[in-house]
Order: sequence, then C-alpha cells, then structure tokens
Amino acid sequence: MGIKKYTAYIGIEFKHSISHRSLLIAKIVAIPLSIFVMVAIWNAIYLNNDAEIIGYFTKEQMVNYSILSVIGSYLLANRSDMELGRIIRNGKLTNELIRPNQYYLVQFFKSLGFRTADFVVAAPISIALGVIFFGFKQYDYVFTLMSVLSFSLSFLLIFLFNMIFGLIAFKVIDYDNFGWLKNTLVSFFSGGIISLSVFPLFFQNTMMFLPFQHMLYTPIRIFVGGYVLEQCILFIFVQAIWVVSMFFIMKFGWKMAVKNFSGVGT
Amino acid sequence: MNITKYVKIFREISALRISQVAAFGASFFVNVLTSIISNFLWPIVAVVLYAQTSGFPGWSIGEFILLQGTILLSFGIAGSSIFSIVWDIGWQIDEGLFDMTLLKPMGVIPGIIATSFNPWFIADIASGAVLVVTGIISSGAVISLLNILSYTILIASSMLVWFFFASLILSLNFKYLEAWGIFELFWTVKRLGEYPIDIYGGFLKFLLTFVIPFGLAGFYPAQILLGRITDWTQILILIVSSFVFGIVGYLILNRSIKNYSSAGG
Repeated sequence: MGIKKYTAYIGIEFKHSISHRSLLIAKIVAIPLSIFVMVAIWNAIYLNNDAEIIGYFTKEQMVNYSILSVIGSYLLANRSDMELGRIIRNGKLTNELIRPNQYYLVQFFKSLGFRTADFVVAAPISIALGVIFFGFKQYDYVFTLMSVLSFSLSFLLIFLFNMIFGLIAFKVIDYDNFGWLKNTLVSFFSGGIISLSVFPLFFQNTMMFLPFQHMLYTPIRIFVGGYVLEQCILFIFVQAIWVVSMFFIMKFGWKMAVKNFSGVGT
Repeated sequence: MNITKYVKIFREISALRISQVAAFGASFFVNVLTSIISNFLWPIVAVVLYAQTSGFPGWSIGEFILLQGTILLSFGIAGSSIFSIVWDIGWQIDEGLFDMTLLKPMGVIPGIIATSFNPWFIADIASGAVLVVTGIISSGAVISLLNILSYTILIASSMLVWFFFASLILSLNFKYLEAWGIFELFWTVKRLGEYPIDIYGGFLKFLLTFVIPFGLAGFYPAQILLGRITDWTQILILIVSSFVFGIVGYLILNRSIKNYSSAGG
C-alpha cells in the first residue's frame, strides 16, 4: 500500500501544529484550566453529598476520570469531517482526488501528526499538574496498558465516525453546523461532559449498543479501574469490532459519495 | 458623537443581516437546532446530577438552571450585538480588510459596534430566556419587581463586560493574527462563569468578579433575581465594575487599532 508516503504527513502536520504557537500555548493553559473547572465541580458535589460513591465512582476515581476526559477530549478530537466539508465547498476535493493517494488515509495521518504535538507537549504538562495539584494517579499497570490500547482504538473510531458523518458534506452546501452538532452530541454520549455511569441505567444500557461510549468513556473507565479484567478484554474487543465495521462503512460510503461528486464547489 | 447616525447604521445593518439569514434558510435552521441542543445539554446533565446527588451546595436544581440560563441569555444578547465584533473585525484583520472600516466616515469603535448585529445568536437568547423562566418556576423563588429591575440592569451592564472580553481578544488578534488559540482559551475561561462561582473558593471568586469578570454576567444577576443580594450598595458596586471594564475595553481596543499594520495574515 506504500504506507511511507502517508506517514510523511505525520511529520508535516506535527511541524505545522508546533508552528502555531498561540494555539499550542492556549492549549497548555486551557487544558489544565478545564481540568480545574471539572475537579472543582466534582469536589463541590461530593462535599455536598452524603454517599461516598456517585455513579460507581469514588471521589478520587471521578477526579481522575475528569482529568482524563478533558485530556482525552483534546487528544482524540480531529477535524477531518470539517476539513472534508471545507474542500468540498471550495471545490478543492478534485485536486485531492487526482493525487495518487487515498484521501481518507492522508487525513488520518494528518490527524495523527496534528495530535502528536498535543501528545508530547500539552498532555504531559496537564498530567504533571494533575498529579501535583489534584492527586491524579495510576491504578494498575495492566489496566493502564489496556487503557492505552483502548485509547488508540478510540482515536481510530472517532476518526472513522467523523469521516462517515462528514459524507453529509457531499449533500449540503454548509457542513459546519452539522459538524458542530455532531461534536456536541458525541461529547455528550461519549461521556466527555460527564461520566456515563452517572446516568440512569436504561440510558447506560442503550449506550452499550452504540459506538459512542467506546470513544472516551471505555478507555477512561478501564484506566480508573472501573472494570474487572474480563470486562476490559470484552470492551476492547467490542471497540475493535466497531473500528472494523466503521472502516468498511466508511470505505463503501466514500466510494459512493465520490462516484456522485460533481466537483463544482460553491 | 452623533448617536442618531449610529442608530440608523445599526438599523440598516440589522435589516441587511436578517435578509442574508433568510437567503441561507436551511443553514440558519441547522444552526438554531445546534444551538438549542447544545444549550439544553447542560441543564439535562444538571437534572441527571441532581437526581443522583444533592448537587452544588446552596443551589437547588431550579436555581442552578436559572444561573445557566442567565449567562446564556447575557452571552446571547452580547453575541448578537457587541461581542460579534470579535468575528467580524477578527476576519477583517486576518484578511487585511480592516482598512475599509478605517476609511468609513464614522468613528471607528462606535462604527464597528453599530455594524455588529448578528442574528445567528437568536437561539441562544431564546434558550437562555426559556431556562431562566424554567429555573424561576422550578426553584419556586418569589421574584419581586425590584429584583427583575435590578436583574435587567445587571444583564444590560454585563454587555460592557462582554465588550471588555471582545476588546481583549481583538487586541491579541491585532498582535498575533489568526489567533484561534485565544478563542480556545476564552471558551475555557468562560466555563468558569457557568457555575456558581462560590464553589471555587474566595480568591477565584474575587478574580471572577473583579479581574476576569464572568461572575458579573451570570452569577451575580442570578443572585439578585433570587433575592440573595438586596443591598443597593453591593448592586451599585457590581454595575460600576461593569462600567469600569467597559472603559478599560474601549481603551484597549483604541490602542490596538492604532497598531494595525494592514498586512493581513
């Protein structure tokens, strides 16, 4: 498949994201600040609550969940659907289709490169501040390793979901609003705003049959020791099935969309 | 300063922007839908949280929703007017088109405020109002006419607070160009003001009142409407603070405009 020509995009995007210093500095400040907000909220709620456990989590686990959900939301996010919407609107997708590359692979490696900068700069600083000020801790090496694997699958899953959802851009003039709507709903259903374990049981059971909880909630819950080992293996397996299914849906959808693409732009 | 001229400009621009929205009906509809869904997600989360826990100390579910509605209402009004200069002027700076604004036969800052009407925030205003009313009803608070009057004055003066933030963002935009990171930071800091600021402790509460005054746009108006702040001296201090921030914002923006290089980005 000649993966080398694609991996070059990682380096290019990495340099690109590092060169936007204002954005990187803002993230270095924004991530810890978001963590602070979430921790303050949960501290206040636990302080005002008689029960020591809320939604299966102790206060310590909930604080760790919040820290990882903020960092994860930044690291796993990608704008591949917005980018697709933009180049369809201005007609530049035609240029991309002429190139001897698969567009979705280019986008994937670009996303990887862009997030690498956050991973090596913003994430370590946020985790260090989390350890120093909020008692962020690692629970178990096995769970941590499984969580890393699960996070990697989440990255793939979010990318594929975005690419599938982004196909809407072939049918509408202005995709951006659809993109924002999707981002908001995914953040809610994936446990990015609040842990899904706090929701009523019927909601949690419904989420089991959808891919969203595997985008953020599953890897974080694995990390904080919210699952036993067998459950971790099962959920990672389910995540992998979602990734494979979405890959084929995306490939099929992409083929159909490009077939009907006129390349006129607006 | 000829106020009538600027009112006329505001009226003309508003009519023009509304007709632009009408031309993109479907896009506007999706935007409104997106805003409504986003705006109601946190109240839904609040309902879930309060069903499972005792919530925030000193705040019932209704009062918390009222607080969320208040900051949404305040930001919605600002976004559809004074705060939208961030997007309009920011874009002009990045594209090197701000010269056109400078050449127009009107005062620069009054002019950009008069042309700032943005109908895309209408859903935020409506959602905010619905949440405020829902909050009042479900909290069972007895609201006096005096409370409503003080609340309205505080919301009106909070526009000066948003103008201060808009000036701050624009001044950084003038300096750094395409400064998307500043927005990232603004949205994060704004979140601090979306909760009862007393949960952060004394120092940050002071900070959110007198340094990065998000409290003036949500927490304090909500407190006043709920009848928790009745001392007129205190209310007056809050109003004066907003005016001070408005003046500081004007001075910052005025200084930044003088540094505009017209190069684009």
